[in-house]
Amino acid sequence: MKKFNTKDVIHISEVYKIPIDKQELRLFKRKLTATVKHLESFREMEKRISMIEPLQHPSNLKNALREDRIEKSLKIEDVFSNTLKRYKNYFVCPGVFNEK
Amino acid sequence: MKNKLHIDKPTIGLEIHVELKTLSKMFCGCPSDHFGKPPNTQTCPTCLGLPGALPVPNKKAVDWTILIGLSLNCNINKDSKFDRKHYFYPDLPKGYQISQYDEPIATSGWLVIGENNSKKIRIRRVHIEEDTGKLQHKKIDGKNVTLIDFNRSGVPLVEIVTEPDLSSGAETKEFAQKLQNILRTLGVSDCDMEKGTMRLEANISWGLKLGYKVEIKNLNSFKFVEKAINYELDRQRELIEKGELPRQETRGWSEKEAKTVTQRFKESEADYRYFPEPDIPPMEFTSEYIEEIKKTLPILPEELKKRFSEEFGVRAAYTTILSATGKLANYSLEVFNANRKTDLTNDQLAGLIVNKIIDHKSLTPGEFLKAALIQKSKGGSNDTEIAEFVEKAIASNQKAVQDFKKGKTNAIFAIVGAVMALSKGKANPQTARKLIEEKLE
Repeated sequence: MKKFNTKDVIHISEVYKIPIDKQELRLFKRKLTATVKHLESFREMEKRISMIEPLQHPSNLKNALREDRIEKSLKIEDVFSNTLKRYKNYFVCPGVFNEK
Repeated sequence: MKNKLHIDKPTIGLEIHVELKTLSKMFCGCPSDHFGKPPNTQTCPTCLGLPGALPVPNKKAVDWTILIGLSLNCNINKDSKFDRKHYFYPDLPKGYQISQYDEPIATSGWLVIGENNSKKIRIRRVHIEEDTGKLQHKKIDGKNVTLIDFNRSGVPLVEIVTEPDLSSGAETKEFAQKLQNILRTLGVSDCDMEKGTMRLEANISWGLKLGYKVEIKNLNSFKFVEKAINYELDRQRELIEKGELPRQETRGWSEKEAKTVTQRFKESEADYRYFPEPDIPPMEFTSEYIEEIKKTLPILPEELKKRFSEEFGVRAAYTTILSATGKLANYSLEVFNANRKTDLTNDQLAGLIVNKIIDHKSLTPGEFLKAALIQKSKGGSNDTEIAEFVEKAIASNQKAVQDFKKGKTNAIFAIVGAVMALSKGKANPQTARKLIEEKLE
């Protein structure tokens, strides 16, 4: 069974862009290992359902495609209606180059 | 341990992204032409990733991806589907990109390069996905911020992945140029590297056995492709020769510093947590459907080159340029087909087009032929001869060529002098200089 080490947890926090401190690092190492242990128990279930064909999609639809036609876009005020930070007509977020 | 690293051969694989020029985006009806448009004016709940919005794939983008697959000698998968690829970056509003993972539209193709098309570059896969938004980095009120424009978000993007069969910067450049010519002939993309409608990433190493690869991004011109790859191969070789294994990482090409520089932390495949896109039912293509798309394949550059050479007697140096885009190729074909009663050879006509001695863009093929005859009657065919002398002078004065390319502008006089010598003083030096500058650009 996979046991998570410090490097794994740091990697995951980088992937999800969630900074964590040393205390959280220890906590998540424990929690992730426990989660994977729980998931391991699903292997028993897998044996029982292995004969079932994987379901590609819940509907029986295929090729639900649309023609290449332009439709109306949103009005600019609607685009920004839920936004707190706006600069001219751009969305604004913290500078990505500030990341470690 | 250190000196046990063994250098094998340069190993280069490419990932090429091409924006399709459909009218609307991949999964919604917003216009896909985003260049020069005011920011965020071509967006809707789907391409902004708002909750509840449902993506519906653009049929033309799917058909064009099949067409690209066919033009690259791929197998078209009769069953294909979309998947979610997760990563977190401000240009991706949903937190995932709709892409294709294990059932891409096309697989196992090839494209030949090299003298006499002697080297086969295998194409691993061709798939369709959506483009991301565009970011701008600024300082506003003393704070570093990132500005986001989602006009590009959701534009159809085809990804073409090669096997690691390329082995130099020059080969990679040739492959990319050939691919660009094919895609332009198909009429599915502008493939403009400066505008970013064609983007290249190269995975480079000194042999697969060493177990690392370095990804190079920001390759936005063919010149940079060659320079960056050659630089990176040298950098890695130096490390390996010192007994150090190059770090697996993503690097970017910095033209200012003329070197590759470490870029960002990169996710591994498992981190993307691919899973089937539940909002889009799978696709199924019948043999008849694929066959119908195959019928729309135009004559591809390789075949055109052969035709220009064998049927019309045009020299190889011209056939490559004439077959580069569908528009120029068709125009040239019309000119050659119309050239039945003049005493001009098709090779001479090709020279007038390629060397831009007659500006053909505003002329019909018939008008072009008349202009060519007038040019000849004025003794203007001399210009075609000058173009030939220029080619010879460039070939035999490589040191001056290299000096000129490095910025020593006076080096051009050596080449002009060579042209004058070859023409026995008859060439117009201004025309010669203009043609040399165009050739060396």
